[in-house]
Amino acid sequence: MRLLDYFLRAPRRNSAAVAKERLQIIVAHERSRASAPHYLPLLQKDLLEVVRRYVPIADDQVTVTVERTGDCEVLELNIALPDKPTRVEPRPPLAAVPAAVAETVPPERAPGLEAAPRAADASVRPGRRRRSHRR
Amino acid sequence: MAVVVVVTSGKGGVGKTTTSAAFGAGLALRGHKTVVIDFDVGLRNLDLVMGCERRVVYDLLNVIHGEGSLNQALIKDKRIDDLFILPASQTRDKSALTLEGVEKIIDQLRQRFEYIVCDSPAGIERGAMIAMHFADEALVVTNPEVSSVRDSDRIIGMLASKTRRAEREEDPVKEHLVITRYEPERVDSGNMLSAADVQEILAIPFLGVVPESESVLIASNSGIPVTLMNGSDAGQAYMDIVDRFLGEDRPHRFLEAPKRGLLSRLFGW
Repeated sequence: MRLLDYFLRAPRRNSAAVAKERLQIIVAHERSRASAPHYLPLLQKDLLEVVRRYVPIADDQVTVTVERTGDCEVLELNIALPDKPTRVEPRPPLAAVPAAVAETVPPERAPGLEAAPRAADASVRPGRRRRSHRR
Repeated sequence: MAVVVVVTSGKGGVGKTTTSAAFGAGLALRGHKTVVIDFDVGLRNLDLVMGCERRVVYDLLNVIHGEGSLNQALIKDKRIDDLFILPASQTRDKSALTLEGVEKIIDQLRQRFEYIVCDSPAGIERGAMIAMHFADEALVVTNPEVSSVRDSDRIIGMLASKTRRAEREEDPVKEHLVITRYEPERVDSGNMLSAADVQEILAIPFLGVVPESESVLIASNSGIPVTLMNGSDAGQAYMDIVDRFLGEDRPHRFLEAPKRGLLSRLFGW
């Protein structure tokens, strides 16, 4: 009866490949979280406060992650700025390029990473532009 | 110098106790003086799987609390000379298991045995953490299945960060991957993760696969470590694993489904 099965069965979906792909994603994610420095949430909170002095943003608009590539740890800050200029009076040099603030910040070593044995880069990427939902 | 080997997995039911019994018996068969310790306080089963449940008088916690000596608690296997079992307590509270107490016992066992196999409980609670704490090497037992692989990955992270070797910044615990309940036919049909897939995800050295086998149930029913059962495929797989662990070169078996003829493939014989 296998002969009949062979011709009648639906195209086989390879569930092992799906499992492997899902595992690779979740395992990579959990490893990065487990190895992330403990000060990351505090750093995120402080950054949020600093950015809020100039631009009103929501809690989830600053993300801080550490990625490890080989011997190098890369601290990635992702700050999403609203499109419209804000009503808050920004300081003059920042007012000129509100959306590109992130880009003008020179890469700096994050405090605390100084002590880390591995080389650490802080790269700041310009935020995804989100339309703000303010009235 | 004695070697402490923890058998761990994170997830329950993947074959830690079966592996501890088979691996410990295999080491003893190869002439190494071995003790297998059950760390599953309250849910001990190693005694049952190894067939010495009626000979348990004193247990690990009795020794820790000075209610019995180590010699009284150690059970000598009746089949193999070099094999001993140290059972867990069935009645005590888990909190009675202390790091200091276990350290003292392991230090004493190191004087008398070549291999100390620690059968870890499932999970990442106290018992599991204490079972892995003093390990020099680890067998990470994994089924080719998503939840088991994910839990093994967490355990591998803990072996690297929460053990005494990690705390003292010594050489890390040497990890070995053991894939159990492996079914090559289902791998071929695309519905089971292959040994290569699991190795790729977990990225630790691979010791071998143990095929899904009815002899594992027959062995535990009878209280015999599967490595002592003649003609058992799982037993042979475990002996290969023991030999590779001891540094022997053994070709991998049980990775491929047995070849079937054309007729049997067509008609399902």
